[in-house]
Amino acid sequence: MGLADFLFNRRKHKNNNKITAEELFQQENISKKYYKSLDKNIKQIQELFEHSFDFTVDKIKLGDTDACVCYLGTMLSKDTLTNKVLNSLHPQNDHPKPKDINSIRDNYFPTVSYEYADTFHTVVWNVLNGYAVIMVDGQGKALSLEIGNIEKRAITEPSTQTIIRGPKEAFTEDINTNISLIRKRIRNPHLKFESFYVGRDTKTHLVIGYMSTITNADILEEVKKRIEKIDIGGVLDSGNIEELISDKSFTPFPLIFNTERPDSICGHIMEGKVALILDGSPFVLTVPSVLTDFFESSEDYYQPFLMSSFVRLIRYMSFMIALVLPSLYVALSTFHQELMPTQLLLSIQAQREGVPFPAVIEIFVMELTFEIMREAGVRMPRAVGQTVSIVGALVIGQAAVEAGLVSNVLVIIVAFTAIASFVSPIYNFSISTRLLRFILILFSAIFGLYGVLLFLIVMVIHLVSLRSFGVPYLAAVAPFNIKEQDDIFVRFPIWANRKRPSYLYPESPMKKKGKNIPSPPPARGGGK
Amino acid sequence: MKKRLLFLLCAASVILTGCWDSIELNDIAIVTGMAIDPGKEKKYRLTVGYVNPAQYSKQNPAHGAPVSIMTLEGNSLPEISAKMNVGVSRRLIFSHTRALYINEKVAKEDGVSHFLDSLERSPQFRNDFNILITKNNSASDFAMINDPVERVPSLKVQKSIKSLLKSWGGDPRVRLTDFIDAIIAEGRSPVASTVVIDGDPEKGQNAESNMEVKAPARIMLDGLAVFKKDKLIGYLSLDDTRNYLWTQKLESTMISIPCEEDGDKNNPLYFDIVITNNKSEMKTYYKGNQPQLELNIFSEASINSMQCQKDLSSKEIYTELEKRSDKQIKNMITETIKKVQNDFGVDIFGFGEALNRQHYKKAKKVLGHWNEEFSRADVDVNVKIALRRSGTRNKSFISELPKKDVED
Repeated sequence: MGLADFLFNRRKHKNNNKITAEELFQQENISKKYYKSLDKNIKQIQELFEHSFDFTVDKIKLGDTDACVCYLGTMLSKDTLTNKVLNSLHPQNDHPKPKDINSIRDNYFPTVSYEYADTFHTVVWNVLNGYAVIMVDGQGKALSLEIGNIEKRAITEPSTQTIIRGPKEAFTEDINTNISLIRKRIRNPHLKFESFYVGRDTKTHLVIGYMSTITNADILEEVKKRIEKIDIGGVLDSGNIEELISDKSFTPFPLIFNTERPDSICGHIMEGKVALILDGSPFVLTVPSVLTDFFESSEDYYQPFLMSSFVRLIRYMSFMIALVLPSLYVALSTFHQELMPTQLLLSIQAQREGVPFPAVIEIFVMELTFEIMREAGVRMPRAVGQTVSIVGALVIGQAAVEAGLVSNVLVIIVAFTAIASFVSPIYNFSISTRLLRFILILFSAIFGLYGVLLFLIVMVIHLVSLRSFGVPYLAAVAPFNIKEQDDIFVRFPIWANRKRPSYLYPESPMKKKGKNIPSPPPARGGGK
Repeated sequence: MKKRLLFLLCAASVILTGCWDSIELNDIAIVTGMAIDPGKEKKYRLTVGYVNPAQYSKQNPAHGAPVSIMTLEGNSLPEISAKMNVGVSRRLIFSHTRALYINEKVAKEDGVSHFLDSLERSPQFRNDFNILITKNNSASDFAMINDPVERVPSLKVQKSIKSLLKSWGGDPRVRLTDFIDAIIAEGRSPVASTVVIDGDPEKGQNAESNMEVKAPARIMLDGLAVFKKDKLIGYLSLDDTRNYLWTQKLESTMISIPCEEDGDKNNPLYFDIVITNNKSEMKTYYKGNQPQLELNIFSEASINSMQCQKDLSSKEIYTELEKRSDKQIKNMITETIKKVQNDFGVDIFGFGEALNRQHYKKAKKVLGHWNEEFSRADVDVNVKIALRRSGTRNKSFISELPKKDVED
């Protein structure tokens, strides 16, 4: 029960996936009552949707009974609405005219998915979700029909996490598409998706996905609890959720993993993590996350293990380079000239001849320039991208050196650092190295190597203190676990990797039973 | 309380410590060579050679002097070097000093211990520069001689010593701490390399001398300087230096050996062997009252050239050549040891240290006057050379010539 110590007491959760409209609207000043009188209902719904051009109430007559269809025209496909709903109800149709709402559904819409709304809240909620709601005079409930949805973006290749080998699908903004991308990969009834609505005003759909046979129940409980605690006006992207549920906000390190790759999410779910999918965001989160997750790309598992182990080591190395290289340069060149080999010192000194700034100013200016160029590169319209890169490379790089404002070796260091900081497969991890780098340069300029070391010690202390949903952020490295090392710094072959990470306390710790090491069949004919 | 203490500790680690001695690369002058001469008015005259960094710039190399020098007189090294900025614009840093030239007069008359202390004490000096005794010319000349390849003279000297040590041997491999250890040790006397200038030092200082194919002046290694305590008492030649190294640790060397012991005096024939692996073992003991110095050397070698008509495909010839080499090397080394015994009477080899290790009780009695004991000791050198290979050829093509043609 080690993990349970970190978490709060287990709480009996309502095992009820269906969230009622009453719960969603309980905070708002909306009348609850659904009247038997059609006019009263039309009046209160028209008051509610006042000043919305797309809200429509079509009044019809079913025989001699008054009825109406109300919907938001922008939230559903009008073709389907006309074909499936309005045409069937047209008075010239020679259907019998039933007055009972149940028989209306049975007679007119036997193939359309539907829902009965017996409160006014449900009616409003259904209208907001793109249903066409049929209200009939004298009936105690309304009939909501699900009409085909509006246009959505097609599935495309991931734009932030590209790989060479492996599936090329990426999540989209539509939550149903995203869930289907996961379901497609894990065909298992134990793959559960539980639904939540977050945001007081936006009431955004949030779904958590997990394997009920693998994921630790305490972790799951904690995730649900934190989601229920969310109290905010609006949620627009999973980035909002990330900040609202993570263990600690005042840290440069991301405590929650995000990706737009379904295969990566499936891998995490199969390890015992919980995925959080927010409607309207192509970035899906998984919790708990540890530091080493941010150094793993899903391609690591698709390329030969020797190669991916090597690449993974490169990633850790470039993380260190991106973090300390500029500060090492400052420390060595202004404090510890004796630590450099003579020839190297001479050539660096020769390059610095005539540079008017101290090394720390020089490096600060260049690093800032680079950050500005990067920011410009992300924000500017695509059409001017070429201009900025040419101006950036030529003016900042070459001309500054030729004018003698910065030294060559510095440009090399800044460029190398910049490239190294892009190596992390998850973008927001490289942000943390960018931030820390500046502080580190400052430390090295004041205290030399001593400062660099001091800062790194503080950084490691901070990392050790972090938790992601109760799991130590440096899990498998600190606290060190030799059995976990098969998939941390290097990756062992798939057949050798039999266990799920123990720091996630999975309900079933083994991925597979046997040790089926691939080998050639015994040689035939004189093979003995 | 705990938090306050922790905060205090963290604050102390930032506020009370740290190196506020930062200095930009543009404000330092990297000293590569130091030369010590006797002063005219004061005790020493110190010359420092520091690099002119513009010479190392790839973009627009100035055609100036690669190093610049500055000379001052004073009574102690730290004082002079602190005063150097009377004429030098930048702060001197000494951590990259590559060579320390000591004028033989200083070493002979004043001894070296007075300034070695300040070098050992200073945190700036590394223990990797060469201590060189300069012969004939003043030490400051050595800090100025340009070299067309390495440009900085002191870098050239150190590199040349390093290369020589790898290919032939000829530097005692003595650094500052070794030297100081040897001064205070009872069973060993210090040695240092010597250098001379071949050519005209006046011309060699000129940066234009780098334009010439034949350098007008060149710094050359010249052998060993032998010290008694901290005073210079004499020199050994380069050949003796190699023999000295053979008793210490010889990495590799090339040696030519006559084919016949008493061959044709007018046209002697030689074969060369290259020593690739060398082990030497020193034994010092007393036979009655007579000190015995025993040196056992085992070396692996291969034949590198052959002037004599020998058939290298036969085992007997190998044995014969091995015996010739053993004898030759044994004679060389014995001669050097005897020369040191008779001419200088100081134990530069460390036989006394070996005695101290092997016969501690005896050593305690005799180490106080070890140099006299060393001088009267019997020397016994045993050399075993194992010839392993003969290059990419067995018989020399010379052996295939008709005998007459060779003689003609």
